Amino acid sequence: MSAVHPTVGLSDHGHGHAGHHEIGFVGKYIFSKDHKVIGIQFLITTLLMLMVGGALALGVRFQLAWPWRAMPLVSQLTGGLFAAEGGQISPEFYTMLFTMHASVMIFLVIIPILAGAFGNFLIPLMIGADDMAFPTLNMLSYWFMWPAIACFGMSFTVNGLNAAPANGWTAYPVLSAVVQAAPGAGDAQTWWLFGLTLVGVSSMMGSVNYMTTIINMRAPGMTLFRMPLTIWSMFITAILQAFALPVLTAAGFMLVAERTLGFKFFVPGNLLINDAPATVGGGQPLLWQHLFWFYSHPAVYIMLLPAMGMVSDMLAAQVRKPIFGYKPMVYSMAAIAGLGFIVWGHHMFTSGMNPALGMTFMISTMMIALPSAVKVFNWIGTIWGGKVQFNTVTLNCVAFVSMFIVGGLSGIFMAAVPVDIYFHDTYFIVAHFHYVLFGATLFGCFGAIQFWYPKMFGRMMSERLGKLHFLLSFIGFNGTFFPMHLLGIAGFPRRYADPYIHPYMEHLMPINRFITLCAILMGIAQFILLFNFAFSFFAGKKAGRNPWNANGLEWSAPSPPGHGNFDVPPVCYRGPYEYSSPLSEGTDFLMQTDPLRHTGGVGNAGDGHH
Amino acid sequence: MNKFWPFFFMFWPFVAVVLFFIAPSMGWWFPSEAFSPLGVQIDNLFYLILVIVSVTFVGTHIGLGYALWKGVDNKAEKGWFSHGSHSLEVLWSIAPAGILMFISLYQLDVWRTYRVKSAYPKDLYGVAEVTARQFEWRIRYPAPGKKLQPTPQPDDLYTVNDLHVPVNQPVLIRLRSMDVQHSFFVPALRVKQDAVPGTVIPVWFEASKEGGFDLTCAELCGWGHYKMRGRVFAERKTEFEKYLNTLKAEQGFDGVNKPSESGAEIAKTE
Amino acid sequence: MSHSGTVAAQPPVKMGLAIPNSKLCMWLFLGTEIMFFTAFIGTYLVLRLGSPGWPSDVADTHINVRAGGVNTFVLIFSSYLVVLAHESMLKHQFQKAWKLMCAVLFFGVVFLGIKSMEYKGKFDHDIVPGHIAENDAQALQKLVNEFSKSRDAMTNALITDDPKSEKKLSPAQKLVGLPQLISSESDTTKKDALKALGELRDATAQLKEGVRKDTLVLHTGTDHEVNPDITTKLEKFRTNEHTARYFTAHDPHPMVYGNVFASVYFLMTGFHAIHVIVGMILWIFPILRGAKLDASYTDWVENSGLYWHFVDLVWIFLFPLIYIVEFGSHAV
Ligand code: HEA
Ligand code: HEA
Ligand code: CUA
Ligand SMILES: [Cu+2]
Repeated sequence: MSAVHPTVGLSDHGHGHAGHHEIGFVGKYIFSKDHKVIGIQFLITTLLMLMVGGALALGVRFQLAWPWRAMPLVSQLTGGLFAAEGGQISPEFYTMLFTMHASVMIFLVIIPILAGAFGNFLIPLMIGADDMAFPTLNMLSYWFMWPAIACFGMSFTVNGLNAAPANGWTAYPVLSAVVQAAPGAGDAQTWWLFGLTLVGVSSMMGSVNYMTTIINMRAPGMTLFRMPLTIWSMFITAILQAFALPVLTAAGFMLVAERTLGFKFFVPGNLLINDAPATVGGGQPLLWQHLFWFYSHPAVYIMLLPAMGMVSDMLAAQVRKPIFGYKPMVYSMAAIAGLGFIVWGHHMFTSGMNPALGMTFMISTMMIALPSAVKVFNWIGTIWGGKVQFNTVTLNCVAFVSMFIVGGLSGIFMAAVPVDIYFHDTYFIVAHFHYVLFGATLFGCFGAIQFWYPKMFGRMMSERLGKLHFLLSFIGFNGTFFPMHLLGIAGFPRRYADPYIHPYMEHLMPINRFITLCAILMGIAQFILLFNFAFSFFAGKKAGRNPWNANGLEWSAPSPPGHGNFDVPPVCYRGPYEYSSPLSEGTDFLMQTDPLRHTGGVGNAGDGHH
Repeated sequence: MNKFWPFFFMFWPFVAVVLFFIAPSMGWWFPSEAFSPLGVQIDNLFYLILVIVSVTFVGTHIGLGYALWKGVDNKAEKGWFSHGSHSLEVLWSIAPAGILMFISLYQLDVWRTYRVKSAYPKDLYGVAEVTARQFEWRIRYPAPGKKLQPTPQPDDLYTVNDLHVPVNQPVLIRLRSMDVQHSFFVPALRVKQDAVPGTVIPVWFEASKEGGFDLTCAELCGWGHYKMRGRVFAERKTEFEKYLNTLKAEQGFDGVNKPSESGAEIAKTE
Repeated sequence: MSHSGTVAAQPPVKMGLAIPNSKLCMWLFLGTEIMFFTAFIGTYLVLRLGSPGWPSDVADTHINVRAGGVNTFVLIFSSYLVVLAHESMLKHQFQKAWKLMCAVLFFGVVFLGIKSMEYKGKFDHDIVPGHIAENDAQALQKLVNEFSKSRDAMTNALITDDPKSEKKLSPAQKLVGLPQLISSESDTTKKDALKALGELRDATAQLKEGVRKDTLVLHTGTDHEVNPDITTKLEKFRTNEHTARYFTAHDPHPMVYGNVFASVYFLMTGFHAIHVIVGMILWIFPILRGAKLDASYTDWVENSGLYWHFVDLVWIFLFPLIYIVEFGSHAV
């Protein structure tokens, strides 16, 4: 921490704006530079995209449960769209469905909901700044999402309405590099790559902004080890983004050049693909996999760490206890991020890369379970001895911990290379990543929406609807994804439009039907969330500044905070987790801004044990 | 009602474990036992990890559930004011570290035998070259009595989708691809290896039981990925040789002259 | 502040580093840029070290070490000027700073000029990704294609379609009546041109036949001399006053791994050039202030300077990697 010292008067923004100049509707809600509005814009966009991604998933599930049946509703609603296939999902279209499902979910839902929505909304509020360091850049980062969405949309429409990239979200060349290899994908794949680049630009702008803001714009007294874990997680995530994403962007440019300009990076010579002339060149297909996973493995932690941070903050507030082991929590996140850069090869165990590399990647992958273990145990430690109140927030947070354990533990099977020889590209993998992505991250986000909604809109969300949404989602979720482990063990490969033509998988159809029914249940449940979100905006109970009796700086601002956030410039006197402190009399919380007692080191969350 | 949610969170791991116990009898388990020595080792490793992981899973959930259970009727005025415990952190870093290190080292041997050339079995027999393409497996055997050569020979024998290998004999295939990536996956033998265009990857396996096993493609290779179905037949040495001879007769048959003995049946069915 | 404690306990006003946000952000951004170029350099190393062969003969690759070297100095020198410019800004010598920045901009233009000359050299020899033949057969096929293309272009130019007919004729269809056309033509220049076209057609047909029958060889003897038959043909049509305009065939020149080489070359230098352009745009803003340049641009100049140094630094890595280094054992 030696490099970080308090300095005076260098901030680009003074605190506490005196007069507010009037901003029109467009400036206030559309092209707003206010981080809160941008955060909410991100949140609403990603929730809508969740529905789109989910609808695509239901297409996938339909085909797996009732192969080659005419889609109900879809074929009628879209008129002649699928007439050529008799309303069925063709194998090409199946491929496109899961490709776009994953692309939407990962690039337009999970990454932007964490960093874009919650990162934007929470960072300045939680560190006591009046806005981000670069509000215009921040606005741009949101508005770069739309061209990205448009490009993804284009990829659905350029070759007729039922075309899209058909190469999986991993887009491995040679399949994705040679246009003739996946004829239906055509230009769609190129559009997809443009979309990817734009999402990348958006995240990039966000991440440098977040880092600058967190380093340089903390309120007086907000030392690094008084920062809430949410901020730590956002900070570490931003670092991951900043240093991993450019590699994917670079790789994306290379693939575009290969598809359109005749560059040769990934395609070796003398391949005979469909009616294409024999390829020339001497590219290496595995190069893409290395570049892609060099980004996309760190990216899976980009898709998890912010949720981990938010859950830590929410849990502490809900069980009225300091977070157990604050510093270990910080260090373990840093360790996950650091190790996250050197484990990418575990996606390539069967790709034919050098076996010695396989061993190295296996060991680093095993090691990354360690900091995760520390975090899990610390969450349990946090709950231990607390005063638990089962509201929607708590439920979603506990589900986060529970689902993360399941998803993480299934990762251990795959980290063991010999076992991964069998499990690679089976539904075991699909089960694994839905547990971490949906089970952990999305449940974390559901909790976070409920928790910070009053700060966003000044009203509480309905508890009744929230609990119902949680219950249905949780049951639907486990019903959908738990049996996928068994499918994986049965050797059921991923990305199969019709697995049942293989005799050894015929008997798995009923289990797939069950999964699909559960997925539909889970899908229906999401409408409850949307309804609750919209309904509470008008009819929710009014919330004061601090409805959860929580400690963070954001709770000292009005709900919703005005432009410039704080009416009283906040000063931070202690760590964010002083719940049930003996120092607080009459209450069980002690806000970071509360100067009444002991402004010295006492109660600094960084003190470790007591 | 207070205890509903703690119960809920403890109940579902219980369901999960029960599901795993009944799954094998429902047919939701490995498609068959592993019919290869290496496959047996992989399965054992799987079961070992399954045990470790299940204990961790159940253990953490009991801990979680218990904490919640106690937490809901915590009548104290305030929660337990604790910022953590250094010794506990050390404990729960070291214990998993030990377990994970153990798993890492324990499995190295299987991986080595599977992939590191110097650790391959000594008596490997090169059966065939398998070339994947959209959406089939092309197979090139050397002529009976000859050795598999890296480049095609005039007397090589060709088939599609049916790979015959001698049983109880470690065999080696040269895996190639003509177009995009594919993956050679035989679930019953627990073998999987991507076919990467531009390179030839040696893959060895040993079938320890006679019979036909499904061969599927496990790497997305286009719209027909799902239907890239092949079969691997493990047969006794004599039958395997007979098969090669049949192929030879079939391919040597010019349609006019009387086919050699072993090719007779095929000529008849045409 | 309504509830401040004792003055002594008052925490400091601002946390963080003693540098402005914009500079911090620029440093972080440059970190991301480093990763961006690392990906390209990594790609280059993987492809080059992983390929059993790599074109390293300057005669093949048309890599111009001298141009690259000059450009290195151009960039280093401009970076030095950037430092001076920033210093002048700090000393409030705005006009001096303005001149220095103009000089930086000028050197940026020089860099791009030299770069585009290099590119032109590559294009002239068709060292373009995807165009390069990697073995004799491909080189011959390419030669035939180029001959056919030249022939078609010339045919289309000389023999116009029948204006009365709606149908467009293909070059091959147009060539059908060539002998009659020649004999009926009265304009002597046109007649000669048609004759030359006839020769080009015959030469193309010969080459095509040679490739089809596999009798045409690219190299004769062991000294890798190009087949004299081919060289004379090339020479003939390049120098013939009638064909020269249309004739675009290149010397057949198989280059193992030439496509990958050209790809990484254009990728790395291309993205570097884009960065130079972005850097130049950054300089244009303060330069446009002209006489009105003032201290409010000091940070801008400093940050653009950081960026410019970075672009310079990237070149200092690229130059030896692309232009100089030989990975000995891999030469084939
Ligand atoms: C949020 C996203 C996320 C997260 C957090 C993780 C976390 C982990 N992942 Fe996962 N993974 C994905 C998303 C994620 N993954 C995705 C999307 C894919 C597929 C991509 C594709 O191909 O499309 C994938 C694929 C994937 C593979 C490749 C499989 C294959 O294709 O063959 C592997 C292999 O090693 C792997 C391993 C791990 C491991 C070891 C962890 C660890 O970090 C987990 C650590 C956590 C725990 C272990 C649980 C808690 C710990 C304890 C309770 C303590 C005690 C434990 C022990 C003693 C064992 N993952
Ligand atoms: C965050 C990421 C995320 C999320 C949330 C999900 C959510 C879901 N996923 Fe997905 N999935 C991936 C990431 C994700 N997935 C990835 C990365 C892949 C790999 C792809 C590849 O192989 O390349 C994948 C692949 C994948 C497959 C494997 C396909 C195959 O390999 O053949 C399956 C199959 O069942 C599946 C199912 C589901 C289901 C049922 C949901 C459910 O949770 C969805 C629930 C439904 C909703 C939440 C929405 C409800 C909407 C409606 C009811 C319709 C209303 C419509 C409108 C308003 C427009 N997913
Ligand atoms: Cu071949 Cu998938
Ligand atoms: Cu990973």
